[in-house]
Amino acid sequence: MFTDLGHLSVIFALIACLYAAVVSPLGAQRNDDRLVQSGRLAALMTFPLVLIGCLGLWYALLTHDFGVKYVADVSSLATPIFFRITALWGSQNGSILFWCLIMSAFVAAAMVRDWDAAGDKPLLPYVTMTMALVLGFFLFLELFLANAFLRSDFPPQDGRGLNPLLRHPGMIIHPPMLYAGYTGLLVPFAFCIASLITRRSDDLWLRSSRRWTLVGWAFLTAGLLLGGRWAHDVLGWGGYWGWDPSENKPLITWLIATPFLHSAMIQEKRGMFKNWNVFLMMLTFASMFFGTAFIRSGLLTSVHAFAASDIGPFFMGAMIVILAACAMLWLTRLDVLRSENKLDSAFSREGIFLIQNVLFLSTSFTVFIGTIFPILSEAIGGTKITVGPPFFDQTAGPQMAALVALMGMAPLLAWGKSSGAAVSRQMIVPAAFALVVMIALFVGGANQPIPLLLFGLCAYTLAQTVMEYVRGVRARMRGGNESVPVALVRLAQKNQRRYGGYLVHLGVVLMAIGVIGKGFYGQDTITTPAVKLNESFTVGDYTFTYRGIRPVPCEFNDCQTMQAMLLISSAGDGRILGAAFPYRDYYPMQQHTATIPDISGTFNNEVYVILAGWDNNGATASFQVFINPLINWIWVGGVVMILGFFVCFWKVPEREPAAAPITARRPAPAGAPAK
Amino acid sequence: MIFAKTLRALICALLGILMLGWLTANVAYAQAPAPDEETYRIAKQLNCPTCAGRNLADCPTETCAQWKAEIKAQLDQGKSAQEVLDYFQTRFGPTVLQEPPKSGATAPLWAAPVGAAIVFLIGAGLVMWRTSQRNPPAAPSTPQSEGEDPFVAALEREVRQSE
Repeated sequence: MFTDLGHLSVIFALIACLYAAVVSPLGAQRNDDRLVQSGRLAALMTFPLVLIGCLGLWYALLTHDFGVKYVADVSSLATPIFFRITALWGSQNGSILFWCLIMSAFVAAAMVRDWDAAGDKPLLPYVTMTMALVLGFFLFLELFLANAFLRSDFPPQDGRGLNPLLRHPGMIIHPPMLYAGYTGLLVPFAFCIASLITRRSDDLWLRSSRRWTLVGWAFLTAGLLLGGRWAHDVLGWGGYWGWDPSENKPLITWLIATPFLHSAMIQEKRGMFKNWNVFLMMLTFASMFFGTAFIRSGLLTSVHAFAASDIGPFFMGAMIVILAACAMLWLTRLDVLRSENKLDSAFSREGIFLIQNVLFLSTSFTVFIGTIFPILSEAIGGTKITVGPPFFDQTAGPQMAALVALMGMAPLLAWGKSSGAAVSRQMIVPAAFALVVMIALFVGGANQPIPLLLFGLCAYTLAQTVMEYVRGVRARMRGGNESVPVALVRLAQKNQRRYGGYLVHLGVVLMAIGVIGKGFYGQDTITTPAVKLNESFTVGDYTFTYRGIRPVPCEFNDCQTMQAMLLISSAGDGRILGAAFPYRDYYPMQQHTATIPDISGTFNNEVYVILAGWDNNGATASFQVFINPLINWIWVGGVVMILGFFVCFWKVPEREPAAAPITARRPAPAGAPAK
Repeated sequence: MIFAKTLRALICALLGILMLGWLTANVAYAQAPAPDEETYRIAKQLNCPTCAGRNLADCPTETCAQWKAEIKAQLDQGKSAQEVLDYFQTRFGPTVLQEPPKSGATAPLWAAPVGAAIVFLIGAGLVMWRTSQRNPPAAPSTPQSEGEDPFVAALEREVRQSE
């Protein structure tokens, strides 16, 4: 009953979307504010309506209503309550509904903001229209092609249970994060479209949607990180990133949204690259549709393409229509978007941002081509050629290294034009630091040239980024009598975007260190031959002694778990370092085995043990061991990146008398959302 | 102020982690010869026939075990690593390789990223060259004393003003 009410509510949400999409532009044309406001309210209403829909499905999940097909597919009587809640996005049909919920939340948040105070009222009708159309598309998809509310004629006694792979905190938070990332980026897209339709040449759309873009970007970043963490903790690969299509898809979008964040600054400060920003925004949006179309259509096989279904072609069609509409809109506005300024010099912040932008795009293109090559090769040559991680490592890897290098250069260059002498003087300290680090590593035994150079590059960029803070703090201390911490905090408060951004850069460098460490110094073993009880084997600096296997209670009620015990000791002096308990879950219902690694070792040297199999009740067992040096730096770097986002995003109440923004071309009003 | 305090604590913690990291970083290892190292190395370069998106070495299925046994058998016959890889490629096609060959039908795949990067960078270079040709090199747009970062200078001015 509740569930059917939810179904009805989602139908109403679709109607509200269509209404808003028609009425808003009509109101703008007739100059009738009542119509515009009516459209705005209709768009606002989609959030509560979709929420009721989700509550309806949640009700069915919680009450074990197996009459609803979706509930029987993703839960069973044994599924714990927590996973029955998260099962809402555990499979395709529910996940689209959940996607609609998050998207409608962003739509509602954009609608309730104070448009009069923000000064961008003229954009409102078309922002409403764009958002309502996109949300309407997904609601249509949910209702007509992937309906989660459908009932079956013969309800089963028990459901199939949630996909075992999805029972991990990383996997539970990661999809909502990615959805929020994608749908958050819908807001700047809607502002971009509205700005084009109203033929505006200024940067109002950028300033108004700046904080939304940041939010979308941060969610996307967090989603990618959590996805990596999930792969690391659950899939038993020993790694964190497998260049899988499902991973590449958000990465492609991230690799377009990130340069957009940078080039938007050029338009705000110098009035240049207007066309470019519109292009990047449209590309960001298109990449989201592209990825979803390919993954959901089952054209690309992936570790967790939940379901191959018929929504793929529909997505493709929609993508072509959207791209065509965007291109037309853009091409008819080219004259409006002419640059206000000329590039004074290539040796400037604008110049290096341009290089950074194209490098980001070519990296994104690289990932894109590697991801779709299997389909291309099948369409053209008839054989589906798999593109494995080595391709991406060799092609995207160097481009990413170049981006890290640019990150160490860009902060030195001023807007407009820079003096070469000043820049090279500022490079001395970081370069010296990099040299010291490289020598220390070389003496320590790291004698492969490529990783040594890469570590040096990271050390340089790290030092350069830290030096940005040092210079800022010193300037504040020279100007006033501030202590170091006070100066640091005030510096960040007064220039949130600049110093938050540098914190993000710092996070990226830390991450790069982890990637290099794992990539060049990671060690793994072949699955060992059967190890007898109390026998040992050695990997790298570690000796593992097999101490037996035992059944343990299953975490989730519906599986059988076997856990192995290993003693870890130092291969050198035999000192005991700890124990490892890798295990395997067998899910009879899904006929699925999950291999859960044991992760131990030190911060810099992770020991990752997988139970590969056993015989004769554990008389022998075989294992696979990965030594992952520096991999933890990736997670630390990720946390630092998110912290940097908070520094950019947090609204700091002004306590000192406000001084005019020092770098802005014009006073930048807070283009901030209401909440 | 809670924000300021948190930020300070976080930055201190971050610096602490950094210091510890550099001090304890231990990135050099002796390569331990593991059993069937060669088999494993070859299996890493092949796709698993049964589990999508994983390499042969990491996949635990029965079919994969047979393939690995095949690799080992061929190695024992005295074949080189490349010969074993060639055997798999002729038998199952280029699909079986983790890393598509850089020649032949998959050459465009390798050329595309390099081509894109070069074309994009040349494009950006052209844009910059054209605009700088039109504007003869002018004095720095913001007056800056020699060796002084304009941002830092402005920052100092701002601090003085707010005193």
